[in-house]
Amino acid sequence: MKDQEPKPTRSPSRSRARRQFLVSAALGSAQLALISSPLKALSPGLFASGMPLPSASKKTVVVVYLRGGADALNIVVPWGDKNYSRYRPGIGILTKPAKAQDSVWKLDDKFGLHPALSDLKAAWSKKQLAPIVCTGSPHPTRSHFDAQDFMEYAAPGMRTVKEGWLNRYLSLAANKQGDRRLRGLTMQRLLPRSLRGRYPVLAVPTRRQREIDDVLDVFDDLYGGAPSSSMEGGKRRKDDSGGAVAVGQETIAALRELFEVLEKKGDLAGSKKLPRYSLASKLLRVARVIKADAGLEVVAIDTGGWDTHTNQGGAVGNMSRKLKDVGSGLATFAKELGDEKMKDVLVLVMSEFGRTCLENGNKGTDHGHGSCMLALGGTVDGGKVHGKWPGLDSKKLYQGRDLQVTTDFREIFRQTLENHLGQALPKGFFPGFKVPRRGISLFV
Amino acid sequence: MSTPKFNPAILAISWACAFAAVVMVNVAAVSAQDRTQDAADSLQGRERIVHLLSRVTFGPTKKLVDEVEKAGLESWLAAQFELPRLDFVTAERLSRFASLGLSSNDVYDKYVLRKEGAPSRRGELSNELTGSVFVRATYNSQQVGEVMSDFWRNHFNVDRSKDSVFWTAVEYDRIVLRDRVFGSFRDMLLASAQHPAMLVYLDNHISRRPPNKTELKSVARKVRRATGSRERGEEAAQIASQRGLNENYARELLELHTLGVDRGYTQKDVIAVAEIFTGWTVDTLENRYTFSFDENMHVHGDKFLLGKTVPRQKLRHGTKEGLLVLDRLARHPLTATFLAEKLCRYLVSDEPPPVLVKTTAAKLRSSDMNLGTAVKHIVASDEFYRPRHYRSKFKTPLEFVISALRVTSANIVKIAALRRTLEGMGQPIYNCEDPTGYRDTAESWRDPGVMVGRWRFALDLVRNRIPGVEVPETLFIHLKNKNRHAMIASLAKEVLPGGMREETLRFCIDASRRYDRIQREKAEAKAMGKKPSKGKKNPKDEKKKRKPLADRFDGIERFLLGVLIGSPEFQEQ
Repeated sequence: MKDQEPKPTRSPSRSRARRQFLVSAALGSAQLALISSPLKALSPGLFASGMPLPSASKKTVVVVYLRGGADALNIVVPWGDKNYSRYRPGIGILTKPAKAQDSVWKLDDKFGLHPALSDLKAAWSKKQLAPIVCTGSPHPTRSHFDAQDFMEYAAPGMRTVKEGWLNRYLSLAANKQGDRRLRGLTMQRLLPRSLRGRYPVLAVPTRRQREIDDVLDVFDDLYGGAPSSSMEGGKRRKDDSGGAVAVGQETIAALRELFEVLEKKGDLAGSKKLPRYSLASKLLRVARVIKADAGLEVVAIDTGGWDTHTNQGGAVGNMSRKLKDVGSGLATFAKELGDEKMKDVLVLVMSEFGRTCLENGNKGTDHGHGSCMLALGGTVDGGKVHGKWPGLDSKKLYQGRDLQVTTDFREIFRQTLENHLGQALPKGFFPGFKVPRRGISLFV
Repeated sequence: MSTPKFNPAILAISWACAFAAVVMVNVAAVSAQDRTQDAADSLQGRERIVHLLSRVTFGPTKKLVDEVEKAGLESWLAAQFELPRLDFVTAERLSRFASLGLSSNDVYDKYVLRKEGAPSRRGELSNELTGSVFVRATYNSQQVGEVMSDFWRNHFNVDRSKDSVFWTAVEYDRIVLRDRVFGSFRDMLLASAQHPAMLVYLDNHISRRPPNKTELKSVARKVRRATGSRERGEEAAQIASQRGLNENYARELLELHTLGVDRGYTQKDVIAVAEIFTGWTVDTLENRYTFSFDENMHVHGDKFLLGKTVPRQKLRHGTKEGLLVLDRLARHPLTATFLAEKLCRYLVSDEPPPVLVKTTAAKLRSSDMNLGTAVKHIVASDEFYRPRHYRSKFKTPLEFVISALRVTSANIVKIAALRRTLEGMGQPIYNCEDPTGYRDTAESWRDPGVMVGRWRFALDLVRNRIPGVEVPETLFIHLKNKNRHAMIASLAKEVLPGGMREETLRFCIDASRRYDRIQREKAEAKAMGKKPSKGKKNPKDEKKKRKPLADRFDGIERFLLGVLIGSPEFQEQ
C-alpha cells in the first residue's frame, strides 16, 4: 500500500527550506507587528537565511551566576589574614583541620580556595584559573533584587536600563549580513536578566532531548505551516499581534539547530552519569555547543541557594556542597573542551554581593558588600590572585562590617568584552562608568 | 465508531465544507476589521464578546460566550460586579483547604508549629493557598474579581519564601487583596501597609531609629562582659550602630505601590518615608502575627516629605504620621496615573493607550480611587474595543494554564503537579522574589524556548498525564458520531472561540487523516492476521526511531485538543 499523503515527519531538505522560511516569516511579522517587543530587533537580515553563514565568532563567554549573595570569604579564603579565623569561629575554613582534606587549598601566602573547589587544581596549575578578590558594585544596596538587576544590567543605581549587558553586546556585535542563530543561550527555563533584551536568545528547556523532540515534531508543522498568501511579502499577520507565531518559530528553529549541533558531537552521551540539574551537566552541554563551532558567544547560567543566613557550614556542609557543584562543573567543562579550545573560552563566576565578615548567631552570614569572582580560561592571566586587598582589619571594612569593593564589576565586564571577545565598546555602553586608571588586568 | 469508507471525492468535498465552516469565524474577523476602517473602528458581535472575556476572565469557553451573547454584553458585565465573590460550587471545592479562612496565628498553630511526632504540614499549607488561586481562577463564576486579584497580587507582591510570609500570606491574600479588589485603593494600600506579610517581606518590621550613644554603650558593655574582650564589645557596638533605618518598604511604597518609579520623589523623600514608618512592626508574641506599633523604634520629630511637612505627633500617636502619608500618597495625582497606566497595560495592551490612561486616571480621582469604577471605565471605553487590541496580549504562564484548564473542563483534584507546572514555567504563585511582582507583558514571557513547556503541558493535560488533573471523557461524547471535519469545527469552537488560523485548521485535517489511515492499516493488518506492515527494516533503526507522539494518543480527539491548546492563537488573548 503506497502512501499518498505527505508524512508529517520532516525530510532534511524540507527542513532546511523550512528553516529559511521560518526565519523570514518570523521576521516579517515580528518586525511589523511587535513594536517595542524583545523581538522587534529582528530584521530580515538578523539571521543568515541562506548559505554561506557568516564566519562564526571563535570566542565565548560563559557567566555562572551564584544567586543569593555568595559568601566570598569562604570561596577565596584570606587564610593569611589573622582576622579571618577570629571573625569565623564556627564556619571558617581552617589551615590545620582534623582531616587533611578539609584544609584550605592554599594558592599563595595570603589566599586559598575552599577545599570543595579542589577539582580546579589542574586548571590552577595550567594557569587557567584566576580568582579576583573584592569585586562588586559601587552601589551600597544589600537587596538581592536590586543588586542582581544592577549587575546584570551593568548599571548600578540606574533603573532605566532594562537590557542585560550580554544582550546589549549581542546587538552591538550583530553582523549586518546576518547572524548565526545560536550566538547566545542559557541552559534553563527562563533567561537570566543579563541575557534578556531585544536580541533573541534561546532558553534551552531542562527536559530531555527526546521529550523536546516529540513536541517539536508535533508543533513544527503547526507553527511553520506552508507558506500561504497571508504570510507572503512580509505583510503584517493580523493573527500574530501577540507574537506567538514568531516565538514558536524561533523556539523550533533554534532548538532544532541546537540539537543538530549537539548530534554532530555525539549527542549528550556521557552526561547521563551527571545529575540532570547539576552545573556540570549544564556546562557539559554548553561545551558541546562550543566545540561544534556553531558561533556561540555568550552563555549565562544561574545556580541558586547561596543566601546562607543559617547553617552555612565550613569545609563541609551546605555551602560546600554548592561549591562542589561549581568546582566539578567548571572542571568538567574545561576537560570536555581541552586546553586548545579553552583558549577561546572564558568562564566568569560571580554573585551580587558578598556577606558579612563576622558570622552571625545562626552559624551563617548576612548580606554584605564586597564579593569575589573566579575567571577560568586560556586567555586569563591565571595562576595568581587578582585584585587589591584592603584587609580584614575592622577599620578597613566597608561600613565597619563588610569586605570593601576595590574592583568595579563593570571593569571586569569591560575587559571581557574588549579583550576577550575583541569588541570595541562605544561610549556609554556601561552608562556612567569610567575606566579606572590603575585597575587589574585579567588577561595576558 | 464510524470507520469511514474511503471515497476520495466525497471526502474532498466534505473537507472543503469543513474548511469553509471553520474559516468563517476568521473571515468574519477580517471583514469586521475592514468594516471598522470607515465606521466605528470597534470590535463587533461575537468578537467583541470574546475580546472582553479574554481580558476580564481567565479564558472564554464556548459556553460562556454563548451565555454572554444571550444575556447581552453590558448586562453580563454589570452582573459580574454584583455576583457574590465566590459561588457555591467553587466554595465547595475550596472547603477542603482548611487553612484559607484562618488567621495567621491559627495557620501557624495548625500548619507550621511541629507537634511532637506529627508530620510537617508545611507542604499542605503551601499547596492550599496556591491551590485556592488555581481553583478560583478556573471555576469561580465571578471571574472579574479573580482576574483583578491576580493584578493586585502582583502589584502588592509578597514572597512566601521569605520567613513568616510563608504562613501570613494566607490571611494577606484574603483580607488585603481579594476582599478589596473593587473597593477603595486607599483601603487596600493601608491594609497592605499594616499586614505582617508586607511588613516582613519588605523589612519594615525591623526598620528603626538608629540606636543612640547610651544604647550602643550598653551593647558594648554586654558583649565585653560576656566575652571578656574589649575589642569584641566595640565590634558589637559598631555592628549595632548599623542597625537602623531600613529603606526597603519606603522605596517600594513610592516606587511600586503608589507614585511609580522616579516620579516626583527623591532619595530624601525615601528616607523621610522610612522614618515615618519606623515602629510599624509585627507583634510576634505567641505567634500572633498581627500589626503593632513600637513607640521605641519610631523616629520622632517633624518630617519633610514631597515638599510638605508631616508634623510630629504626640507620644504614642506615631502611627498617625504613617496614616497621613498613606492617605496623601493614595490621593496623589501621580498615583492615579501610575495605577491607570498599569491597569490599562493589564487589561488593554502592553502599550497602554495614552488617552485611555488619562481618562482612567481622572475616573480614579473623581471616584475617590475606587478600583471597581476604574475597571468598569476601562472595559466600557471605545478604546478597549479597538480591533488592534484583539488577541494582542501574550498570555502569562498562569493565564495559559488556567485558560487551558477552563476550555478542557478539567477537574482539579490535586494541586502539587499544577503548582510544579507553574514553577517550571517561571511563575510560581506567591513566590515572586522581585517586589515588582510578575510582569504581565509579552516581553517578560516570550523567551524563545518557553513554548516547549507550554506544548508539553498541553499534550500532557489532554492525556491526563498531569497528576491530579483530569480532562473528563464526557468532553468528547458529543464528538463520537461526528465526522472528522465536524469534530474539528466543534473542538475549535470550544478551545478557540476567537477564531482559528487557516494553518491550524489544515494541520488538524492532516492529522486526523493520518490518524484514520493508521487506524485503517492496523485494522486491515489485523484482519489479515499479521502485524502492521512496516517493510523490512534494520532492527537497529527500528529501535532508534520512536513512534511520533501523535500516534501514541488513544484517540484523535484528545490529540487535536492538545494541539489547539498549543496553537499560536491560544497563547494570545
